[in-house]
Amino acid sequence: MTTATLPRPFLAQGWLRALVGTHVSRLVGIVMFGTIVAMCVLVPILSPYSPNDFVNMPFMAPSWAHPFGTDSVGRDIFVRTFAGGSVDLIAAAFTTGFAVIVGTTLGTLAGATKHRWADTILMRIVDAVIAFPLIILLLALVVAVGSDKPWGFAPAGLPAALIALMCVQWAVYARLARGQALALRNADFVVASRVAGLNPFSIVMRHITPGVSRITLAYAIGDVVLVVVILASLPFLGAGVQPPAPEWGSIMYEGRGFLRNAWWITVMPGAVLALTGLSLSFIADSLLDNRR
Amino acid sequence: MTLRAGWGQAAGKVGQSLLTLASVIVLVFLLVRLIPGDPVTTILGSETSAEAEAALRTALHLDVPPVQQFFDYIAGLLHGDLGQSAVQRGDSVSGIIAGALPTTLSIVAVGMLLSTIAGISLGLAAALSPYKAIDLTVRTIVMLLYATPTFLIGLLLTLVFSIQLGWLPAGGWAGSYPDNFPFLVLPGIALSGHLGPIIARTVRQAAIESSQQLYMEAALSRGLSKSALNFRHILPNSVLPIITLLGISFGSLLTGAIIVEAVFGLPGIGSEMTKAVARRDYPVIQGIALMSACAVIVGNLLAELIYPLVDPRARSAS
Amino acid sequence: MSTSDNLVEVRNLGVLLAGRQVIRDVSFDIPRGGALALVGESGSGKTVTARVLTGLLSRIGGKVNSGTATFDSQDLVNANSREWRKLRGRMVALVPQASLSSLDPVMRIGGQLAETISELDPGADIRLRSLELLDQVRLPRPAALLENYPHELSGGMRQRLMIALALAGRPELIVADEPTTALDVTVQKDVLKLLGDLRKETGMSLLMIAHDLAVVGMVSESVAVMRGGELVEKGATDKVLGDPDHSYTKALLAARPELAPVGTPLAVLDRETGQLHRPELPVLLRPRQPEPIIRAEGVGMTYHNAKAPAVHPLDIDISAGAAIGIVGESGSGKSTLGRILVGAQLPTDGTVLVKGKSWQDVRANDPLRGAVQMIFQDPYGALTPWRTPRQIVAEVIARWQGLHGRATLEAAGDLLDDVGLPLQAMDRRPGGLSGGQCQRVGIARALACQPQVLVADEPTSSLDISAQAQILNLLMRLRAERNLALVIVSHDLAVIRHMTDEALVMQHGQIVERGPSSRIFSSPDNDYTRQLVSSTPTLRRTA
Repeated sequence: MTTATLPRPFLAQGWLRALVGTHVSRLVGIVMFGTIVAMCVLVPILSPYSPNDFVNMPFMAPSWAHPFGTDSVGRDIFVRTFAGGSVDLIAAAFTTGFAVIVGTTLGTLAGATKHRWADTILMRIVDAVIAFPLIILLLALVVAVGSDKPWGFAPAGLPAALIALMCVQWAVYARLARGQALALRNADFVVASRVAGLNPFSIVMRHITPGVSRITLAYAIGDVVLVVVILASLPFLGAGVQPPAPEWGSIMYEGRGFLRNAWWITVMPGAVLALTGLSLSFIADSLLDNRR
Repeated sequence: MTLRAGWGQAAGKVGQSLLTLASVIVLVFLLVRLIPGDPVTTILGSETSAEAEAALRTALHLDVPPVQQFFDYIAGLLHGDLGQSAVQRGDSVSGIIAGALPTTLSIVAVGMLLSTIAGISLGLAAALSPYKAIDLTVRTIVMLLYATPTFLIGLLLTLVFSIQLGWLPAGGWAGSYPDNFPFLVLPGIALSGHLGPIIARTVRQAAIESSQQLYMEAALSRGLSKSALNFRHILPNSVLPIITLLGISFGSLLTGAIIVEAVFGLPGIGSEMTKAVARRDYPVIQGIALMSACAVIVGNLLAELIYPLVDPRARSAS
Repeated sequence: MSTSDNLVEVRNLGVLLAGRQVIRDVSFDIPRGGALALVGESGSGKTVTARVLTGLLSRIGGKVNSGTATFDSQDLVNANSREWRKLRGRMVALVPQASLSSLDPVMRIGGQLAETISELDPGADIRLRSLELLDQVRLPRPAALLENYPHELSGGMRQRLMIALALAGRPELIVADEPTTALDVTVQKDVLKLLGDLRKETGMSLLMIAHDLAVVGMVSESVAVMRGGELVEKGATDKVLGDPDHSYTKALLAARPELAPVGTPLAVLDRETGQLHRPELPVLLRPRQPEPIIRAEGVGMTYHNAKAPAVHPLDIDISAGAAIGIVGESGSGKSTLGRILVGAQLPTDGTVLVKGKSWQDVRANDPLRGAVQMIFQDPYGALTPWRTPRQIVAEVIARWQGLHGRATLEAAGDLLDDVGLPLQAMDRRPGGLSGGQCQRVGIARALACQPQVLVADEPTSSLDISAQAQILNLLMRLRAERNLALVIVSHDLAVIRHMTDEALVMQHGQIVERGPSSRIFSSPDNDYTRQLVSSTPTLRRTA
């Protein structure tokens, strides 16, 4: 009742308000992202040729037969892009999911625990991990892990990047969750639960974790974008997915030398990547905006 | 008294940073030692002689007990010695970094400047008519830019401004100022494609929040004009968070600079890092990692020290 | 000049806000040099009405859809932004409620005065005029004050500063929106007196918005009572407060604890019948027990890095059925003491023994943990936002009453029903409940532990007067039914006097006076208590 009657200042009225309103932008984001995911699943299945087939002349401009054109050896970029999309998206979702679970659990426990020394040690590690520029720590770890062989479905070069990401990404979530948990620890409703003699574990699970999760979710969606971008950047630095496996970054990296004559090799996968990021940003933004 | 409290606060923050630095050093030291496999074989590959392995082991200082390795490492750091390159014998890591750092810092500086200018203008433009057409446009562009990888922005800039229009060089480095400036423009713009959107979002959010504050309403009720209020109250209040933001973004700027260097072929830290990654040159990778973490810690610390000077509330809060 | 004697005339005003008619058919006048107090509970429309007169209605998206409002014969309803800029500050000035957020946190006081003066009084010497204004609102050491930032001032000083800013354009009307709500009573009295004095000095008119009938008498000779967007009664202050005509006004007065005999239930307006009724209380059984439930020995609290203790060492015993009040202003340490007694916080000095065992040794699974429970000041903050009342209470019932599954949900429903929460509110999230309803949920959660002592920290200070009456009635009933000991922490002397047998008066972390509540508030021994009592705005009992 109170929230419904609260005036919402500074919101314009009319159709624009409706269009930009949080739910609509979330809907746009979900539809866009859903389409891209569907393409990543369907294109490799329905397409007559596989991503690594030499299907036509090299350097063909986009056409009906090859919507994104062909690359320097005549592979279809449309098929390669959407086949590569699965690699990027699954990898990003996997490492981020891992980071969210591990980081949030550790962070919440650190923020909620009575043992301040445990909190201090964990946060020192988190500070140290966060102090490294992401890509430098990634490269160092990729070199150290040093696996160039494919693992199951993961093409060569990817496993090292995944392990490196899992070593790094959790720290942000630990810090985020700890801050939230610390703030909630002294909230009246948590004090009330403590005073009512509820068991500390159920206080964390029922009265603290749900409060942490929404911001974390929004943050995680933003992080998926970041990881996709980082994965796609690795080939430029001599790491990441190795050719000939299709992956957004490796396709673009192969195309960079032909920018003058065959811009589509680089730009088309790049556009799909950017639209993926845009759709996820729409969703993440609407989650954060809705809290107020 | 407030001054004394201020110094105490500052000392606390410096201490905190030193602790983080210590953890970073330990982490960098462990990086090579904890990874499964022998770094020497990783560097040299499998087809190598026993003598070469032994020589490299000695050069990497891996032939002594781990505890001694650690203390020797610390002692080296205290003398500014980051070790020797494992590949290019005779080159000191600190020498390599010192040679490459100025280029990277110039790109970071240009990127920071452009991001700040563009971010503040876009953020305020969006915030002054929130949820209207301008805001919608700015937000969409900003999100799209944020989702576009830095290297792609770099490549597109090259495509348009170097290849098509021929206005600016597509890469390279003059080596001295002012001849370097033309080579910095496109890398700087490419770099700001990541931080600029973050700043724009922060400024927009802060500006909308401050325009909804009661002090805006109170000032309005005193007959002050909207434009005066925007300039005197919204602008300062929405620019404040940028100081903290720039501090914590130092790491992502370095990340971006490394990629930009690869795209534009600039002789900076990124190029050294790429070279080292290709050659599995551990000591150089370690040195660069340590140096960049230090830079991030210093950046954070500077932001934390500067912030209380501009926000009176942070001065008296303990 | 206008022919009318009235500076402000409002006729049949209607306001639409977020699709709802929040103001309906409101009419009133403010004579030149006169004052009007607009009184009502939250949602009565008093603040929206003030927004119409200050031109701030459109900022919250509201729209006048009927009637007129004029200032000195000038139409306010259709005034455009240019006309408003001429009116605001120069003719009508606002003194807002929350003074800290009403000042730009990063601009010095001098800067905020200067920008206002240069806009409203362009020829003036800014420094001289600033000092003059600060002097006019009786702020000490004005020259030094100009260099300060808002957060460095006390609440009372900031509210004076807001008045000074409002005076900068020498307006004819000041609209004061709950100007003293957030202030301690001693400070509130001074600010109200200042407003009264300024009216005499400058001859300006005043529109005062208030939720508390008692403060109205100090500043305004006429009063209008609003309820649900309508004006239900208006007239001379003495008449309306002394002999009201409308049943709602009567209910507002009857709900005030200082107008009822001590310890009796307060009258509550029945929403359906519009009649006042007084609930019956069960007879209070008070078997005196020699052994106290809580024994605090030398309990004190000194926060890390603090110069002085928040609570100086003190002793308190609480036995079954006792009712103890802890009174003080902000910063007196009363809330800290309350939390220490509950065991929500461990003291740095002394120990609190619950039936002989120190809180330090009472773990979450100790049966003693349930014996002392707490009610919080912020009813919304005390409830986990994503859990419904039934879930919140059921969880505690499962812990204390050995029930499982559906039985806990049913028992929770019964308990919530007992504290008067409507059925349809039981499965809504706290954000969708009223403050009074949330407070009932908090009480039910405490009762689910089957406690012997209830510590209530300002249980009614964020509630409307009628919700306060209901919560106080509920606490009195529970005390009688369950022989609960009550500890009420409050700044409100009337609540303490009505609800408790024994009171402690705290100032700067120390108990300055303790004794029977009736004696303390009728003939206080201590100077500070005396000052508190005389500053508290009260209404005389007339009937």
